[in-house]
Amino acid sequence: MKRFPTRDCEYFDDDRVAFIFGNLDPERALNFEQHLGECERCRGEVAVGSSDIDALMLLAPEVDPPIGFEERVLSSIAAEPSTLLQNERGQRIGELTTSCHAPVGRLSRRSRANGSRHPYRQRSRLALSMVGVVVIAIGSFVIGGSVIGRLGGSSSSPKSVTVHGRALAPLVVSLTSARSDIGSAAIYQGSTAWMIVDLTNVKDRGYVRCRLTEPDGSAVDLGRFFVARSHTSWATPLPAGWSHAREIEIVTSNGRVVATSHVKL
Amino acid sequence: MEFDEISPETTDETLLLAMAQGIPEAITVFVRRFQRRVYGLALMIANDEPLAEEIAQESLLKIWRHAAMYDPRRGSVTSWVLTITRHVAIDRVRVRTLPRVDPEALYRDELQSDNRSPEEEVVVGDSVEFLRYALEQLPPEQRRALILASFYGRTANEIAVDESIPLGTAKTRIRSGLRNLRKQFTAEGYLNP
Ligand SMILES: [Zn+2]
Repeated sequence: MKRFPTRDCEYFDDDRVAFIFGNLDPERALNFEQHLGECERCRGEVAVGSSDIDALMLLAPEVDPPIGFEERVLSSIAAEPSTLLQNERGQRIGELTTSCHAPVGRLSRRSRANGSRHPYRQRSRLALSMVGVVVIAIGSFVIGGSVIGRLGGSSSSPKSVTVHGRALAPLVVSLTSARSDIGSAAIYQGSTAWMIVDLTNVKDRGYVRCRLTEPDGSAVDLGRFFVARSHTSWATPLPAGWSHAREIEIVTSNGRVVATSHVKL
Repeated sequence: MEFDEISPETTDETLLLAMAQGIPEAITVFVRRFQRRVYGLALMIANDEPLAEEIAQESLLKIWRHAAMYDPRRGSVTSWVLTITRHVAIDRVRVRTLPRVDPEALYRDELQSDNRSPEEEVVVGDSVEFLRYALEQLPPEQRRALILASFYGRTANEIAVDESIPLGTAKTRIRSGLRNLRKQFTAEGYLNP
């Protein structure tokens, strides 16, 4: 059953704007956040407004910081005793000593047990097994928290991926807009399938959503990505059952289709 | 991925991933890559060099601590970094007496200026042109309200005082500014989230 917001959105007009700018007073914020949890319309407006404000920050000029700034930042990071590793939902998934120069600390038992003479690298490897976040970029290939291989090839040609020393060829489909080729999607199959989208000739700038269209016409959202220049790439894990999808679509929030695979997956 | 592969060519997303794992090279490259941008925004908001340095340092520490929480589906690394910097800066500036700011001067001297490095132009070049154009199209009073609220975290009440206008007018200017900015983005093909 559809749940209706407890109060009219109009009641929250001022609060919504203040919330977008990050200056809503904490007491009112509690109330508004409760409404936000129930109201899709306000959530949409907050998402759009916040990303517009975030975008404005790009206008701030770059300025050289004072001499020694970089060293001061790096030594304050080195002085931090440890940091919590968290996944994207903020759940704690491990603890890691991250001081640049300090001993391996909490993780040293394992490093020593492994007989490593390179505690730093050991630490990194352990950290990899703990990180639940699936961040991926062209250049490395991370599945289930472990880096399993690297992408090769030029960004405009189909890429091969080396997994544990074995080369895997992706399934590559081209992405088109008004019948012209504007990029490709390369799908790497495995226990978790990944898709690397590579747009090479896009005129628009800003956020797009990437989705899979199911045979019944419904769509599975794969997330929001930022198109900052004509050549843009991103990677996203694919849900189980992705191979039943009809096509890949890249759309704006108005629903305008920027690109489609036009090929049955 | 072997971590000695971290280099100035490493993508922002990979750097964050490596930072989340405490890889020193990644931290160094990341700080080197973003410090001018972070400090620039901090200085613009704080308008005070020592405070801007504190803000920039705190922001970079925060970014390092929360690197694992970055979600590439929600936007670019640059945008995430600047959002954190903006929040830190506004929090720090607000505990002091609010500095007087002239949003038009800021707009003219900073936001419209073209003192970006070639490297930065490659990263944000056309987006910046786009944003400048969009801001330029707004009525000046809405642009001022938008700049005060977004870069300085000014509330409607504070903008009313700053601009010597009734509170209702300040609220309308902020809201219309936001709505018209969105209209510009949509009209000019700056896509929606
Ligand atoms: Zn609502």
